[in-house]
Amino acid sequence: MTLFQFARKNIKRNSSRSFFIILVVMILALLLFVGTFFISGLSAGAKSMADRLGADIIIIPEGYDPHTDNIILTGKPSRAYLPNDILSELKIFDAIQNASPQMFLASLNASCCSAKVQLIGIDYDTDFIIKSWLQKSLPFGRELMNNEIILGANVNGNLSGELEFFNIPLKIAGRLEATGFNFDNSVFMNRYTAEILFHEAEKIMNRKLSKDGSINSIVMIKLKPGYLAQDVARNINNNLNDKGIYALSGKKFVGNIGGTLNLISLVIKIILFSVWILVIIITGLLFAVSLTERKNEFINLRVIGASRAKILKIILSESLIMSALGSFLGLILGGILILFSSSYISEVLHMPLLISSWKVILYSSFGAFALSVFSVIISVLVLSLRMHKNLIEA
Amino acid sequence: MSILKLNSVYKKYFRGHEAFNAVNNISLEINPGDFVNIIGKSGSGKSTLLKLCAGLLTPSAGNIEFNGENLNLKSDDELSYIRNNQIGYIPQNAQALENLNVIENVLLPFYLYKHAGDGEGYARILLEKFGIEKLFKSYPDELSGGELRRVLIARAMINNPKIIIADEPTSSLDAESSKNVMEIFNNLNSDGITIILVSHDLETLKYGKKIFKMEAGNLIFNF
Repeated sequence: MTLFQFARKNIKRNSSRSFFIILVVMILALLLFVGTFFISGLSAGAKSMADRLGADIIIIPEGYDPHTDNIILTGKPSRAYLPNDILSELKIFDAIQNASPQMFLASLNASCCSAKVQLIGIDYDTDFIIKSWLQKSLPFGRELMNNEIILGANVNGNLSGELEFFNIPLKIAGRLEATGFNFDNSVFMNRYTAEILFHEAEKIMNRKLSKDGSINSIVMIKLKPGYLAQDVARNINNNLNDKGIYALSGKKFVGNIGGTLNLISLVIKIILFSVWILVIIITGLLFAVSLTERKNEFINLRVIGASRAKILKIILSESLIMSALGSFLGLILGGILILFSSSYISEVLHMPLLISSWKVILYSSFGAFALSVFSVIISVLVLSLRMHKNLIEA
Repeated sequence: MSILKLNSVYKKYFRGHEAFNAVNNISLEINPGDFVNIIGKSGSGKSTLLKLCAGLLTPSAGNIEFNGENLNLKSDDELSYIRNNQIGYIPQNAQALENLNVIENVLLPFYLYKHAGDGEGYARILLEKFGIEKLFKSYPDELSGGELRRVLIARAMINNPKIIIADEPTSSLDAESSKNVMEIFNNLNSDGITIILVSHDLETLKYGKKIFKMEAGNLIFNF
């Protein structure tokens, strides 16, 4: 019989106490895993969003809610358009390094989707945000060709297949990685393709979608170094206030959501820390009771030649087995919880939740496992060293 | 050479602020093959003396030699190894481990350290020798007092110790069980095992070769 087998027999003998210790550790591991998962997922979602908001200023049609996430972040289908001459108007501002228009067009129902999707057309020559993401999803990083589309992560469609929008069949060239927010429900194309769809949409709907034939829904602006976005946005609004546009400092979105993320992360971390301390205390108490009750057992072990170190090894082996089992169960349950609740929680929090890569999930689960086991071992070790004189002196 | 030698051994304890010697300047030499009985009233220091002999306690003064080795100079690991391999100690109110069956209890000292040979085979031989071989899969709470005591003797014997130290081995046993236990010790002694036995049961004196009396920490020889 090895030390390990002896420890297992001891665990079985004190089954109810062992159960409680395993349960407590399971809860800790579950919370650590799920908490870390959500913190990293929310952080990744916010980072992804911040990356996408590489623009310093966003020009939107006047009348849209300046806090609108609709156009930029949630990609909720919309049809709103800027004046046709907006790009030439913006040239007067020295602060602007780059101005790239994007077209948004809400589809009618399509075979890919049970609801409307946002069609987004980008200007490949001037775009400095989306182009790089799109090219990552294309073979050899090539450009998106005319009559080709790239699907958001949640849009159904097979690569090299076709989808039809406004009666125009378009070839599916690639699929974007998940972003955690409603860009995942969008379809991307170049400006040429966007113009075709725009005109077809007008034909089908039998009306003009924009006053002057413009297909630009927003313009993303990159400023030259040294210019403050808020100042330039104010300047644009003052000078172009009769143009039916509004200049919005893009960082405001990041700030709002970043603040929410920090708060949520802080709350999660406080909860996790409190649970961690509680688990250490509870397992310590449970072990203290257990060790005191087993004083005669330890004395008997000393009698037959077990050294203090060996007895400590037996105690630590027991705590290792129980904490490992509890942690493992916690991770399994945590995984199930994440699987069934992550999208619901993202919706409730109104926060993008980017499902972490397998690497991050692995690190989170390993970290939760290690911390849970380590916490119990340390608690038991400290307790045993403090109690050993009373426990094992015959 | 003596197997166990105590040289002016003291063991001091404190009751509150008052110090007292549970073992008071004891010098004792035990030779291989001795069967030593130590009797005395409760609180006379008998158990403390046996624990010192078994290396479970360190003397406050003096030294103890086992097979010529000074136990005072040994670490806890070394003392524990000696106790496992060379000393079979059966303390007062000794218990078997409840979560192990009889044969697992007997084998426990064998598994604590690496030992050559067929431990399980020898354990069965011991159980047979003590008349409890049929109980090898039973658990301690299924055994009578006498049966349990024999299990503990088998446990003490599993590593072929040179000396058995038993503290009140017949306590709580009826006359017949006590006799069975003492017969076992007698037989072991006949096989060459040194026995040190503490008891306040005068019947056990029939079996010893040397008798000492403990009184207030002092050992009285051949009284």
